[in-house]
Amino acid sequence: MPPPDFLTLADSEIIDACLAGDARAWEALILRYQRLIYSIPLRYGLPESAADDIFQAVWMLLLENLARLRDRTRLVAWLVITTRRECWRQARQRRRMADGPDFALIENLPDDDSSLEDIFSRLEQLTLIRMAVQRLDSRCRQLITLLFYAHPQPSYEEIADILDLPLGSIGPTRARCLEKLLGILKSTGFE
Amino acid sequence: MTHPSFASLLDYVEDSLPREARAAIDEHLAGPCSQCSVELSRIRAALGALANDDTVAPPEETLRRAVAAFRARPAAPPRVRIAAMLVFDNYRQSPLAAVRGPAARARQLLFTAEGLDIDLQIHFAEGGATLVGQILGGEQPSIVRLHRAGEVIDDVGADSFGRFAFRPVPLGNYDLVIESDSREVAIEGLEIHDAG
Ligand SMILES: [Zn+2]
Repeated sequence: MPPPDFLTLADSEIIDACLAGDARAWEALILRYQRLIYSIPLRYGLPESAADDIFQAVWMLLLENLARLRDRTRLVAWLVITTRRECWRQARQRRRMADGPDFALIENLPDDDSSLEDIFSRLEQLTLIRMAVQRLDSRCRQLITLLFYAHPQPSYEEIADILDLPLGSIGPTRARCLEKLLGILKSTGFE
Repeated sequence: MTHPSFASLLDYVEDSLPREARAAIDEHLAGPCSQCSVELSRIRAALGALANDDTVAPPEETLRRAVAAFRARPAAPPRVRIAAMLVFDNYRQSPLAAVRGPAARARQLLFTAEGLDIDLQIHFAEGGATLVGQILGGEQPSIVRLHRAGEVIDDVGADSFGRFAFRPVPLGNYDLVIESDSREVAIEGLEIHDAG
């Protein structure tokens, strides 16, 4: 894990640190957007092997273009567009090579479909929430992670056990942690 | 007006309030209270997203390769420096330009360097000059730096038409360096002197 101070840095500041040669900043950037980038090809119905290739390609492209990103505050938008472009490129390439059935789906998806746009804006929203969860204090981060992100979802008894909390305090602690989370989200413009 | 606590709004969204408490919040919202309405919809959106996050993390090995790419990245090739050549100077073209009075006090210069033309105008004012220019051709984006005695004293970005402008600078000798990703084009020994 990169040091926690990267969690509160804006994308533009992390990019500056990358350009200064800080490998931890690069790792922080990848951890921040790993799910966003990896999930896009899967949303298109591409297989995991393609998602792996696309994931690598997008990070290589970012590495090449880091210094000339015009608007660093819109890194998320750049990543989404670049990933979608890679999905199309790789789908076309593989189709020419193997003509497998894997890529029938992507070719039947109209890329300007508004429902598809909803999928991407929702992915950005999920990314924003995960980033906010990372910025919580460790107790709240653990609790929210166990409550919402753990699969299979543990029971309140199990959570009380893991976090060493009285069973009766899970509910109120959950409410307090969600309040903190919403405070962070509010400050990042989440609606 | 007292607004319901966050915990109450959360319970409201999760439908775990007793009937009377729920009615009280309904009444408050009907007030209307836009602040609480916005807060409620934000809580709803966040809970919905938290409960339905179906994003997928890449396998450990995929992640590791992307992280490792940073150390393996090729070092940026050193920038090539090219000296620009003066091809036009209205002061030299017409020796009278300098003495034609305030209307003609702008000096116009045109430089050229491998595939790049740089149009410069120097406007003189009290004790200094403004420098306005346009880069024609070449790769974008460019940063233009003004050096004096080996130090950068100002830098500006060229716009999408290649135009740039510096704040008034004191009279003196400068180097103007146009930097893009792969190279820098230098106008060396630019004399900003009012020839009048
Ligand atoms: Zn209110």
